[in-house]
Amino acid sequence: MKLLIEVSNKNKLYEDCIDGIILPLEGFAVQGGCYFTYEEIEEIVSKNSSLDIFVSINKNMFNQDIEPLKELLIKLDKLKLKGIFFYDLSLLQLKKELNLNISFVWNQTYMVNNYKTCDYYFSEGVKYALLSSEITLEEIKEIILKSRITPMVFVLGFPIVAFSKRKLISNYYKDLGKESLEKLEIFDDLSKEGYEIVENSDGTNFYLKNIVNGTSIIKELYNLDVSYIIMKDYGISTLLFEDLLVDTKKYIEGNCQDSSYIDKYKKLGDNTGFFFKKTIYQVRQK
Amino acid sequence: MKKIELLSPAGDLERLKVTLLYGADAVYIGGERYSLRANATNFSLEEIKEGCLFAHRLGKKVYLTLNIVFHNEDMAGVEEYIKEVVDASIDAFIVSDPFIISYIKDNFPGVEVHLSTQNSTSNYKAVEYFKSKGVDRVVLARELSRNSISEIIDKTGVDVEVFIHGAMCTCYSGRCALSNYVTNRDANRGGCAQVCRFAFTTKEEKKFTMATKDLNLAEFMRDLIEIGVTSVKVEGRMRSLYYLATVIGSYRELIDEIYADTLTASKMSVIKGRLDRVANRVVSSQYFEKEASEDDQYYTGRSEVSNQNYLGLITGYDHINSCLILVERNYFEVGDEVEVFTPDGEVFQYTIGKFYDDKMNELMVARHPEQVLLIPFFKEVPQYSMMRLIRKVKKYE
Repeated sequence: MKLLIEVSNKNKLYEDCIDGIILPLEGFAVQGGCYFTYEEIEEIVSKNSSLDIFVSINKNMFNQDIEPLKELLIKLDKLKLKGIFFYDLSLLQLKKELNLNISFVWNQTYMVNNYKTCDYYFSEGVKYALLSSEITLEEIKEIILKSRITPMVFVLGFPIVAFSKRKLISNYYKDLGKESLEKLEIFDDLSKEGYEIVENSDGTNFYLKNIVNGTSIIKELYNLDVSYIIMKDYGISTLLFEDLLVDTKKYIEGNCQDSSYIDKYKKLGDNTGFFFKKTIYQVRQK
Repeated sequence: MKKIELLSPAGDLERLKVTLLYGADAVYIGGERYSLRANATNFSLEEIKEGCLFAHRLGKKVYLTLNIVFHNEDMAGVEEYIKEVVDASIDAFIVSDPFIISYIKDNFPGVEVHLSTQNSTSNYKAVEYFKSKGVDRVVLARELSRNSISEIIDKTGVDVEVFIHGAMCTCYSGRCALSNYVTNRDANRGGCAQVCRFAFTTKEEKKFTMATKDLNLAEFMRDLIEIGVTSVKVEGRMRSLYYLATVIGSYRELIDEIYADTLTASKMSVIKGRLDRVANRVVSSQYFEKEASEDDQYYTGRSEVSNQNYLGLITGYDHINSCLILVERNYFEVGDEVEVFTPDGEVFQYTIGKFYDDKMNELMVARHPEQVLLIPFFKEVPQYSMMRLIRKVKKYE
């Protein structure tokens, strides 16, 4: 099992403590902690030949994005990348039209929820799937056991909750008559949860401001032979994240036998997201 | 040139019949499983059959939403369900999951598949992908402008469906799990708690809200026709009978007037007035003309207003007393100016004079919802005709 990360600081890639990294592509990715230009990606690839490097291209594409996207995909195909995380189906169409060799990761956040659709994408030439963070560990296990796709599981970081094309922070501050900010913390009084919302030219992203801590399920994922687990440093201090990565690597290399690892990272909180919590959808008796 | 399709929501069999009678060319409905409105009434298989029979007799169509984002457990039984719905004579499925799309196309090639807006399809290359998978129609993302829609149609030749009226999501459809996190209700399986209409606390003095105004593209109907949109869709499977009758009746009239080249400014004004009166939120054109901006949302939390213009449903005609039989919905009184409107598009202006309860006791005010009332009227009107308030009686101190 390999450890893959997404970072929020271009100058801190933690190369020595990880197996791979996801680099959100400037102008074509959303919901990233930071974004990399093609040239920066090229440089990181040339300097880190031992890392599994993935590029994230996960924005909702519009007509005007297609031609520049095509050019970038052709260039990226020539780099030694491990794969491209995609959201918009235009990428799958372009992969076919351009005969791209690069592997694809189905990364449609809340939609990656069942083994049959994973297998559909596998039959379409998609090698990997980043499973939804909103399904239970039991559902994850069933997908891993029944699908031919190579699964990836997000295990630690602030989960991404929603994305809007609207400029929600700017609009809010225009209404207040104040200068806008790039980030805003909002709080739901009923659920007692906070959210951090971040705006850029593509829209507004929502993070849950409560780290999902899946360190306790890593052993189970390891036993299921999951190929990649993913951690994100957004909102976590550099020192703590670096320690976490080093310890996680050791834990995996020791076949996840060292239970002190789990105890040590209880300090990141006890929010296990939806791993052990099933959502409901019918609230009215029929 | 094929006439643009007017597509209406229908939350139950009565709404299906009413909206088709009021001029919808097709309706979309949810079954008891796999629909994104898990908490709506939804249709049993028997009701789907009856709805299809009713629609097909009128030369109209019924589409079934099968557009949840499927979990493992949802897959059990879905293939059998699809067959049962096909046997019930459904005309098309509205689907978001590409596995389900491929299953239907492989096994039931005679049934259309429409790609749900849940996919937020926003460019011609993604449309080409789904075209290559046999998708017959794409319901486009609500974030698109007129020019983008036009370019997609020109470049792909695929039939496209565009939302023209009703509530909007704040986030991209399918890219929102606010409901999951805030309420534990799965938005993408039909449990959306509409968290984007909640108000959140911040460090500022005013709560943070992100609720959008409703969509209304009535004044752009001619553009939609000219750029080659196949179908225009009204949102609201959980809306009232009166709302649907008014909205669908108004758009029917608007579309027919445009095709007949008889739409005048005054007719447009009447239609817009009706749509405005039935709305319970302020409306905008959202992304159609420009990027949605601060003008297209609310800053005060939930902002619905109760609509009390709907006075009642006409259920029959008392030939002995020459009266409409009306089941009251909202308060009215002698002197109020009202309209009786019919599924055929007829509108009768009327001032409430004498009226009676079902024992022929004369009344001055109607104040009991669901009470059966008799309203003197010169002619019988078709089933599902309704009465709405135009102006309250003037009172002098």
